[in-house]
Amino acid sequence: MTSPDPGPDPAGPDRPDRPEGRDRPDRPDRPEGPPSWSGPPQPAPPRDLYPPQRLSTLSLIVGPLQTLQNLAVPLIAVLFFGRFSSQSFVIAAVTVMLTLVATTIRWYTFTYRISPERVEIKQGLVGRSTRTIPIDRIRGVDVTANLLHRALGLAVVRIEAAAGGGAAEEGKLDAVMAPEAERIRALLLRRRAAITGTAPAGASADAGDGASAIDPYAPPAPDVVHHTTPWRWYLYAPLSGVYLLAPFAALAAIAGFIGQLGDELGLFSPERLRSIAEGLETVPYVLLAALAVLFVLLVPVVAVAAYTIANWAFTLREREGNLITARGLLTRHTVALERARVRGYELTDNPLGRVFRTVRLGAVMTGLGDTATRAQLLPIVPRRVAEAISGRVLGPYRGTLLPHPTSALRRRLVRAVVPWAVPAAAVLYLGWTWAVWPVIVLALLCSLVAVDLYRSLGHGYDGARLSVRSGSLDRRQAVVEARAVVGWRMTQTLSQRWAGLVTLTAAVGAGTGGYAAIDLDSAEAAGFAADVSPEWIRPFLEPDDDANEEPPASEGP
Amino acid sequence: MSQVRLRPPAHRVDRRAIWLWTLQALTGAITTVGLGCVGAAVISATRPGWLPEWLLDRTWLLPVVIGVLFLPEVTIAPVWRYRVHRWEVSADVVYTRAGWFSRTWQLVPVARVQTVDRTQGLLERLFGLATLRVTTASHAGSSLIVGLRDPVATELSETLAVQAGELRDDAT
Repeated sequence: MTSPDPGPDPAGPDRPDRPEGRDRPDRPDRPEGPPSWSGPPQPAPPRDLYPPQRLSTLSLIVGPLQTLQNLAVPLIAVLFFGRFSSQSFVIAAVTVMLTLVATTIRWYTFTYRISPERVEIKQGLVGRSTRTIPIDRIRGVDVTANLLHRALGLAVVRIEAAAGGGAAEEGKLDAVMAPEAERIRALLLRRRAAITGTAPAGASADAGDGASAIDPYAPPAPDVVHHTTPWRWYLYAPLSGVYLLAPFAALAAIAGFIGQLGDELGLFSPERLRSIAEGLETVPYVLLAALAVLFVLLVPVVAVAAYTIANWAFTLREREGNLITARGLLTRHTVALERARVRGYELTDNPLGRVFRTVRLGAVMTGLGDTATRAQLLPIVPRRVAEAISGRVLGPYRGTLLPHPTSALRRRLVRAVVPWAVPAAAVLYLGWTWAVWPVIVLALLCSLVAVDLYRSLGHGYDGARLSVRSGSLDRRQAVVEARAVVGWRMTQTLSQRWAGLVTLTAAVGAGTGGYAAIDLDSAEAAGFAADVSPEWIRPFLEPDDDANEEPPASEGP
Repeated sequence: MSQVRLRPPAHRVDRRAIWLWTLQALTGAITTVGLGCVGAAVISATRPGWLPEWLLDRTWLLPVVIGVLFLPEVTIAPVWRYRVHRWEVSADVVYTRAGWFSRTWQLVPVARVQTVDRTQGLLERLFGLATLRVTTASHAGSSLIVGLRDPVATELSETLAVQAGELRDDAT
């Protein structure tokens, strides 16, 4: 039985020696309160903000149920295969018992503690492991609760931290009481702000240097609600490619489940399959066609349903220097993003969304890596709403986007059309003249995308933020603060050189790491970079415009 | 937006870098041609049915084609690279140009530098050369200077590390 929590990786600067815990296998038998701390005695911390404690006792109900949920298929299979004999019942009962014992032991040995500097999570019966997360390393604290958790008033706290090497470390408290979860999150975020000195103006009063300034039971400061999605906007779901594919994914999942069940229970013998196939042949084609049409009609409905469940009551709030998004009907996801780490935002849309003027809004955050879904700030909303909120919450982009030279359009058209010459030539060589038309149509469609790709290219700078845009089927406009730029990269391929173009990338230590203005006029690129970061670029600009030859270079300094 | 362009960085890399790049390309070419010979031998031994007859009779073509494809990389590229690769370290920016038929200009402000690495591979040690790698919080903002004379690279890495520590500006 494997526990679902992160592996026993005792990372941390001050973890106690591990063999120490192993030397005392009898320790959990002691009837006293929370388990004593294994390892050498540590210098006593000033005062725990949260003394060592266990997860909620109610998680004793959720834990086994969740484990059994994963075991449901094998258990049912055992009962079926055993034809409900006493033996198969014994196997099932033993499994259930073991699950109960294992989750109880896990609950008993799992403790967490929050000291002024770090979170410590200890777990394990035989191989004790301690995970220490320094509070200043915490990237975010998420609170989620699925249906079962919510029925019992529980919530799961996920503490995400960046380890020294950059790999994500995580602490998971599964599960604590919901108010407790909120309190832990508020406490950790406030404490982190105090340590890193990024406390926002409003919250800095009580976030002094000492731990005594923080009272974990203080009522949280009032939230500022920036946005709550009205129910009408869930109808935008079909504008998202992902949710349009949802019904097909659901169909595939159901088929896969039936197949798996059938395999395990031996439902699909070759004879059975043959009889099913014969049965299908007798079904009139009209009925099959009607079913197909019905499925196609259902696609947007299912998309809206799936989208509504995932984004139910989407709210964007702000509290004590954190942007907090909450969404979901069955499982409620709450994500806190520290405002001090936001370097900009990204507006994403697709051609369908452009027709209806809708976009999605995501934050460009430092230290979040490529976990793009976590940085989502708004679901699909009208563009003017996204622009208003991003402008108000994260800062507006007041500039315009400058178009790129027409040679960029030529490049895109060539790339869209030329590849089709190969199938066209092959088709003509084979003498299938009728097949030329589909190839031409495809080439035309690609040219349309090429034109759109060109139209979406743009770059601009308004004195505080730079913005670049590119893409067609997945168009992204990034708006990034100029102070977040950590370098510039300009690349030019041979074909770009012929066309007089370059790609200029603003390196940013946040989001995807770099935001590129693709196929910029090569005469404009240096000027654009120099506008954004003059002190770095100016010294390297050509003294006069027409000096085209290379100045003599020295051999080293 | 003004019509200005970047001047190339001031310094070339060491001339021995040409030989370094030639040797590196040659190693790659010989390995791949060797693999091609093995592949050709396997093909002529098994004679798979989906290949046309005339090709099966001329399996020696495979390593030859691979060798021809590697030819520019071994002969032209090193000299071309030497003409393109340049670097300059001003008071607050590391400026490099690299590539051969595709080019990359990179400007990394020293204030945003996180690490400075000097590395020396086996071949580089043979030629007394070293590579300097300057990294920032972004992968797109990291710079590489290949083919520096080792003493130059060592000195640069030390001064850069000191400068980065002094100028460090934690905007990210």
